Amino acid sequence: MAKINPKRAMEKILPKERASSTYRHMKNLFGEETDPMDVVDHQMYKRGGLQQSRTKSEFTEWGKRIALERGIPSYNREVGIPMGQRWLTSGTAPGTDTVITFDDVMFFNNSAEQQMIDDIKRTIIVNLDIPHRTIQLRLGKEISPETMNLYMETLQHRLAGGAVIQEHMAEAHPGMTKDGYGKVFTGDDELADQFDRRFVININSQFHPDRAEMMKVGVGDKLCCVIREPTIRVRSMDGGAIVRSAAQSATMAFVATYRLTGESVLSDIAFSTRHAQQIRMGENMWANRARSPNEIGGMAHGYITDTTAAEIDTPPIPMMIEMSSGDMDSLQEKLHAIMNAMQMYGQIIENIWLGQQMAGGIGFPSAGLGLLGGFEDLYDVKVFSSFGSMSGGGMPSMVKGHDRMPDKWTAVKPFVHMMAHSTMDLFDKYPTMMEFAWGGAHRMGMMGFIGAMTGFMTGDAVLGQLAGNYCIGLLAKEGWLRTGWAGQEVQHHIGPPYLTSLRFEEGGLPELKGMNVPYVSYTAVGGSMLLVSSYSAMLGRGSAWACSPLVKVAFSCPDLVFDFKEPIKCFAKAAIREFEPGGERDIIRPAR
Amino acid sequence: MMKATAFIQPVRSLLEIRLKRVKGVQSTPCLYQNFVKVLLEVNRKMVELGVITTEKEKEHMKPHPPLPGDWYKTCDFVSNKEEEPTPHKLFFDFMIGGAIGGGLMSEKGGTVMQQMVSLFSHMPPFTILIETKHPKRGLEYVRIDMMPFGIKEGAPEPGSDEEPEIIIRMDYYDLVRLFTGEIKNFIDPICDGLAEIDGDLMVFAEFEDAFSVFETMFGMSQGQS
Repeated sequence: MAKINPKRAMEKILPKERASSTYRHMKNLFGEETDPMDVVDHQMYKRGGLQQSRTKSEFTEWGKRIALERGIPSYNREVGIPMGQRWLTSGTAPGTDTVITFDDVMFFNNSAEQQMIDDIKRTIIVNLDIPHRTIQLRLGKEISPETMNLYMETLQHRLAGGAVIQEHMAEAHPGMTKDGYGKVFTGDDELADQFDRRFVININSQFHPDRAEMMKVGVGDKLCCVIREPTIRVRSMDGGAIVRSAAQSATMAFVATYRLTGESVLSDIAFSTRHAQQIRMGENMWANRARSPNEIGGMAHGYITDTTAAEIDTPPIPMMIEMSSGDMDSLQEKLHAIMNAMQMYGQIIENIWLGQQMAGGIGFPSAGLGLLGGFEDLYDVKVFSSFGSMSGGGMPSMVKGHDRMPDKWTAVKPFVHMMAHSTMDLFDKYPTMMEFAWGGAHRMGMMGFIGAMTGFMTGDAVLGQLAGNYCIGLLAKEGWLRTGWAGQEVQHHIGPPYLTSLRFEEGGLPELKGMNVPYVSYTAVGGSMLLVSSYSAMLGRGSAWACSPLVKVAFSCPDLVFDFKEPIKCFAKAAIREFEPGGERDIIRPAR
Repeated sequence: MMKATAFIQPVRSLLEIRLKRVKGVQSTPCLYQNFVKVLLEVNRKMVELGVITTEKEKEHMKPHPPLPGDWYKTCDFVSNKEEEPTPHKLFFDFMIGGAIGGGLMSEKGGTVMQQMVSLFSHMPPFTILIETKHPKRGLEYVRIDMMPFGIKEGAPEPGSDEEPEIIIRMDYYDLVRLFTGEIKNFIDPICDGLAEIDGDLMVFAEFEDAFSVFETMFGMSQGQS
């Protein structure tokens, strides 16, 4: 075999590499003076210290001001680790022109992240069919469009903190509870038409027409009510308070609307709204992580996936068909959706659940990496275009004639290998990319996402998890001894049987697992990989939802404070302090 | 999440009341059967969505049956019509025989030659190992060297220091179908889960490009791959 001359090969490759989007991206991030492929940072110590970061400068100023005001020292960079000799990361949020730093996406600093979690935690879905049947059959009262609309109006009053059947109750100021509301939805258009349109989540107008048909079949002719408790309740209490309050609101509104009296009927309705027919976003967690219901840790992965509404305007076409059609615009829409979903899951699992609630840390930078543009390059260029660069004829010819690949490991393995090698090559070629990814620690997150992308090809979330596990645990950690976050002592890494087993508790489907399942990884990036596998599998199948059509419809509501269609834009807006959250106490605090 | 078992109490009450009021009966006979009936009625809205499949899945992902026993007797490019060729012989007949007999030396050879020179001059040197499984002969191996080009029989000898960049494992008759044009390109069996690849997918892509040039010589894959 002929030997390759490395010097000649480099001379041939370098000009092409310099024209690549990765090179340009890194050049933009680190400045024109820096060569992204240089192993030495020639600008070290010349980057301006803390002054190079808008947020660090602001924090320093505020730290001084607070210390003077209260007489106790506060934020003080003098005692922390020296900062600013190297480049302090900042980047443009994908799809926006907003330049943000890691500090901007820290949970306390970003009102959109807070609102996203609040909007999930304050949601309860109650089925109204059993209460309606109880009222009809046991009390002999008529359920008519008038009474149903009166019920909805009463429900809004109750959710605003108003008393409905008892006087002398202490009521809430409606300004404090202005984002609390209830809306119904059903797959039966005729039934939906009987409601005042202000009280309906219209599936037909919220979803792509093909998706809407699928959603209506999925929801069936059930009548469900989404109850959104005011943000102030969840901010000052917890998801458990929402579970109880939503049940009480639904029951009280029934009592007031239909003038109900009598113990047994009421208890049946209350049992229905509070337990039997109540769909919570999250279940209780185990004892040493004890959280109430409706908290993030108890949410099924499929439910979190279904809160994402980024793809609902796109046609439900399986990804392989989209790829083989060569319609890059349509593919770009799906790419946009998966980018948004990934950022959302990164914030939910890594930043908020693991970073803040479980670890008790400051702020995980892995969650912000994608928001600073880290994944944009990786997924846009590496994953999709690498299909394109193969086979000469490009991606369409590569997968032409295939709607879906079989969910066999041997079928997807070469593709996973190709993408994983390509990604690791990227980090080897670009020291700046390593620097950007927290010294390379976040590589493992990217590797996990690459594996999870097999869902695109197969529509199978189990295989996505298996491949993600393979990339992080076997290929990178065991094979190459390169670890990072999610690459260290995670218990399931060399136990794919545990990860992919469906037998545990007979509920081991990826969509039904959550962060409270003890035998899977609950570390950073490993957790969001599980979510991405569910989401990519949903897109791969061309399904309209991953786990529950009810949750999907509930989060397509345009009246939510956080926009689940455009999470990245919301995070970016909050970074520049233009996002308006709910649950604020402006009305009851001293005027400033 | 919805707790289905918690339907029991309200549904039982509903059932009793309905029986009492509507039919005038005093007690609830055979409660369990009625319970199931009512539960099904309540859950009538739980729609059965069935198995989600796509149209193309029906024609893909299924193993192909073996070819008729005398397929090679009627095949154009097989030189020895006396016995079923090994994979090595197949490649040799198809590529070398095709190049000499029907491709490069023919009138249309000029274009093909240009394609070949252009393609091969940009290729790095690599080796492809193809493992086929024949129902009677079992596993057989053939190696394809690119730059310089060569077709060799068998797997690399241990200690030969020859390391294939990629190993393709497939059914013998699928390989034949690739030569005859029944399967359009090498990626099809991979995407259908009928063949496996170990190694560098980019090398595979290069190989597929090279293969398509040979196919062009026979005029069998024009506009197909």
